[in-house]
Amino acid sequence: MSQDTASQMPLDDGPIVFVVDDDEAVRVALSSLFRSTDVRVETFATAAEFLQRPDPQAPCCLVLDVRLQGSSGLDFQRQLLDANNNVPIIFITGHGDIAMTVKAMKAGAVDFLVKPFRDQDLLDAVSAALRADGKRRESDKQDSEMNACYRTLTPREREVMAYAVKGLMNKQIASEICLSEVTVKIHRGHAMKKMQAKSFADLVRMAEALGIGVKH
Amino acid sequence: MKIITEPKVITGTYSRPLLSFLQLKRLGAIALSSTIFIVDLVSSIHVAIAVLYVAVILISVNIFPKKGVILVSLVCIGLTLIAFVSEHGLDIYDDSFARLLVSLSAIGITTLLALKNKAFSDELQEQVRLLAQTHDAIIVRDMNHIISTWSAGAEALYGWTREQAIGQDFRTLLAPQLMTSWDEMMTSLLETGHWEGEVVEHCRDGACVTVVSRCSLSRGEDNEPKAILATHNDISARKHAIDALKRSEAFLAGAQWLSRTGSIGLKVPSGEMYWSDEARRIFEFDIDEHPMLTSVLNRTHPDDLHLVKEAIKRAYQKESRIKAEYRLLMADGRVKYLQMLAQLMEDGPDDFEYIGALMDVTDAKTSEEALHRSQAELAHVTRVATLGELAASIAHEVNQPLAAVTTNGTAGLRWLNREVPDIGEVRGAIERMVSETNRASEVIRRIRAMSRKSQPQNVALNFIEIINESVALVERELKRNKIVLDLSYLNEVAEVDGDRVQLQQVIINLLMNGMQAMINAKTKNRTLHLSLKNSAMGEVLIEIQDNGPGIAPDQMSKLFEAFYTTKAEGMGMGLSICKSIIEAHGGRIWATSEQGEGATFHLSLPVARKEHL
Repeated sequence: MSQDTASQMPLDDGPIVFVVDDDEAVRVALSSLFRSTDVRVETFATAAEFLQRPDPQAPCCLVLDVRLQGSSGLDFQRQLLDANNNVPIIFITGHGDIAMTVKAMKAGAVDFLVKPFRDQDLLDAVSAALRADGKRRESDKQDSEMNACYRTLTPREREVMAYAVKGLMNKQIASEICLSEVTVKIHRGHAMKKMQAKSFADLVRMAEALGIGVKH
Repeated sequence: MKIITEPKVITGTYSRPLLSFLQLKRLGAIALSSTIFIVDLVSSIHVAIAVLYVAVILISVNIFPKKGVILVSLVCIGLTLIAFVSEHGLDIYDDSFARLLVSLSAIGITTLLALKNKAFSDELQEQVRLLAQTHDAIIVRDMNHIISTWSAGAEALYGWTREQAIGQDFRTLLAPQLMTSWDEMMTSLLETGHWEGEVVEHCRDGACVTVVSRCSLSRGEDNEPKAILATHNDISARKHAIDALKRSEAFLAGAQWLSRTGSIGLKVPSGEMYWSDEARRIFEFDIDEHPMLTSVLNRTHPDDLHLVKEAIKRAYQKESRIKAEYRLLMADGRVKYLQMLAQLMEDGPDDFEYIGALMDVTDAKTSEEALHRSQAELAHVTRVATLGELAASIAHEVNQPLAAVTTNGTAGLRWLNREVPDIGEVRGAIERMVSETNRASEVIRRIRAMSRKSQPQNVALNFIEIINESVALVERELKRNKIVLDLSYLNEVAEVDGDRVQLQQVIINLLMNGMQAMINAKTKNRTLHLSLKNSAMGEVLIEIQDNGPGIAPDQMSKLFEAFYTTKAEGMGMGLSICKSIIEAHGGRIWATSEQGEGATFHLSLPVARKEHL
């Protein structure tokens, strides 16, 4: 991975902006702009170089030139989506046409800026993208924590939880699965505890997020 | 009056094998004098026999030169004295002595008279001989024009012999035609005694001769006109030569007028000049003007004055051949283009003359210039069209640095507006702005140069720079179309003479052609090879090779024709313009191709002449 030295930032975490543009002057200028607003930035001359960069485990976005040496930015966007890489993309281009813009936006681009653009437009787009990526990462993280909790539940506890979030009474659950009402009560308490649910409503929301209770 | 005109050649008779008439006469003279001597010696007749020696002297006058005659007379005196002494001794009181004196005085007086007469007749003889040797016809006729004398010159000229001519009427024999009337001629002759004029006469064979006739009137003692003496000088040949000269002068004048070529002569060091009519016409000098070198300089275009002065300087340095091309500026502002060539003709060690031809090449120059102009205009139009094709790439080329400038500018401001401004970053941003602005203006400069409509220049150029400039303009376009450009320069410098923009146009055109051929054929791994080298033959060779579909054999011959194109939107001007540009630079352009293997365009241009490097 080759990076422009000017883009090296002392910060090790926090949001990061990736810039892929085959024109060095544009790369250096963008790097300076982002650093002046205290945003971490890394620049790449080609898409291939960017792909070698490991995921930063922090909110990030990609500022991408539509015309790249060797391949087009739109092709690269498709490539990233296929690889399940959800980094938000802001396109910059020397001469955008409507067809190109539509294609990019449909494929999920955050914004499409035509050079020379207003710095504020780019910074706004970038901060919006970083915010969105932060949220995405946060929810991804929550989802994965919930999943971890869920995996600690015994099959019986999962069964009880599934019925409970459907709104069945303990007595009804007991008869459904041929257990005593007391045993159901204990399983339900364990599930609540293991899922770190503060209330029953919380558990219902979690079950929804996990996609539980749709089996019926 | 009769003049004998036969040449009496006294010399030249010695070649005869036997005794000549002259020698016989001399023998006769000796025999006579011997006889007289013997008779004088032997006879006792008291008569001055020695007086008979007079006859010997008279004979010897005709057969001996002056000295011979004197010798003969001395011999005769000697013989007389010998005869006297041997007969009478030294008795001087005898009457025979008186006879001796009579004899001696007779011999002496005869000798003197004979010698005087001889001198006169020799002179006359000489004059007659000289007259006979001229080719002029000498004719004498009486007042009725009856011919009485007819010289050998007349025989030769008219073909009539003396016998045939004498006694004939001059007017019927020769049928003379005078420029004036016959009466006028006779009047003038009678009044002044002379007449001279051109007369056309007829020869025996019917041919006409033109003669100058000089007549003088001969009068008798009674002052009455007796005869007309005429010498007729044949001027037919001279007249023909003059006519031929006049004709060839007319031919020359006509040819000069048609070809707009005049002749001039310049004498050095006097500076005297000679002008043909056409030369005067070209310079527009008046007929009565006598042009000198200063008049030439006054007519010369001020911008070319140094050329003419240089030529004159070279003339004074006696260079054998002087060539010059320069312009004249007429009083009304018209400009004429002249070509001049002068050749040195030696007259003497110090005097020499240049004979020169000068040609008005204005028409040729103007049409040549018009052709150049329209070629340049066509080249410009196609250049602009090519730039149009490159518009998208060029816009990107300008936009990139502009984007960098604005981004650097705003970034710089942000660094400045921070609570603690970062001057290092601001400086970096401003420096980048400057360099990116330069980059943008460089692109614009290139486009401007390509789109400029200017007269083709002819300067020494490094072809490698031309290629680099051309590549800079199409680089983005090549990248956009995924074409790899491979440049190989086998020399570091390749100097050619020519116009930078036009040569760039050729390179751009060939690169774009190769690119489009590969795009249209959807070639994979598109590559353009451009190579340059200096050949051993003093040429710069450039090859541009693509790996497209190549050129079909039937297209090959039409490749460089105007309006021939295989492209849907093509004008068909590109290669034809390339060809005219390269040929105007003294070079060649050709193509080679293996079908399916791509095409190669070859350029060869002469290496720059060193003098204006």
